[in-house]
Amino acid sequence: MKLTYLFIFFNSFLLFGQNLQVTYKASYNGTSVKEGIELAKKNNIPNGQLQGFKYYLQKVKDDIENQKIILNTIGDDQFILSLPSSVDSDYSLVRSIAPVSLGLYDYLYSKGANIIIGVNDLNDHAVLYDDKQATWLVTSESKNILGFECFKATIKYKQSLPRQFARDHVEAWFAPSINKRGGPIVYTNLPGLILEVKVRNATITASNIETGENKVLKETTKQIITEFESHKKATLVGKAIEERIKK
Amino acid sequence: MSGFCSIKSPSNKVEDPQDCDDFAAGGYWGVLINGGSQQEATNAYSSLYWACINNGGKSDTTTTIKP
Repeated sequence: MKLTYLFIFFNSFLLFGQNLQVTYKASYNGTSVKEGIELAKKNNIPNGQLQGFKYYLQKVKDDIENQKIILNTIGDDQFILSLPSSVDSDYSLVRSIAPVSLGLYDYLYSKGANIIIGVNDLNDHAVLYDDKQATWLVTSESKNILGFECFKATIKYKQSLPRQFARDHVEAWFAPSINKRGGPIVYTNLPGLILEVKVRNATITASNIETGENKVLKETTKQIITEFESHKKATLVGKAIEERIKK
Repeated sequence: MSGFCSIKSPSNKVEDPQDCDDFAAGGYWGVLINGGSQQEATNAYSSLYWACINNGGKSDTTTTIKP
């Protein structure tokens, strides 16, 4: 028991005042191809579209399990999330669909305590997440991740945000002994670094923590729109796609 | 066999999808039926459509849909 306390104290001491680099890995826990085919039949997906349907389910699993996420802390309140190249050779001509499936961006940074900006190379705009819209229910349930005691928290939204559609049951595990904001997706407002997040189709867990270099936060020059506006844009594109599919 | 057979995954090789519109539509519904967001669905559509076209698949439509 004493050794455990000593270990936690030692870890906290090492991390105090330092910038960190955290590597996260994701594991897929969404629908399998077999389950997906049953769902497709129930939803009357035409036979001609089943091939793409199956391909998507297999690809999202493979892409998510190949996805690495790197978090760099800047001081105690700011962080940058970036994605190392994750397209494996078997999908060499296809951009990974893991980032969008997990709600990740090519470059994501925090600006102030609760404001997060996500930037995708392909989009002409950046998206702003305001985490004041979310409140966390912190529980006493705990577990150890990479030697740090982490506590479970679940999210509740003050209003119906678009991301709630995909992430009704977000579960985060944060380490109070690491006094930094941030985590592997868009969530930040917990009293300690988030070392694991469980979302609809994946669990993203820290696999390594080390002292990081002093990164400079590069603010986007793209137009910044809200999460709501981004959702509206996606809905319009979705309608255009559905029209196209019907023809 | 169309040129599309070069798109593959280790466990789920895709063979001969001539129609990229149908192929991409399958991905679109795949996301929505599995509880994904609209953004994710449109992205999956775009990703699968261009993967199919780039690998020799065919499409009846010429409209470019940007995510």
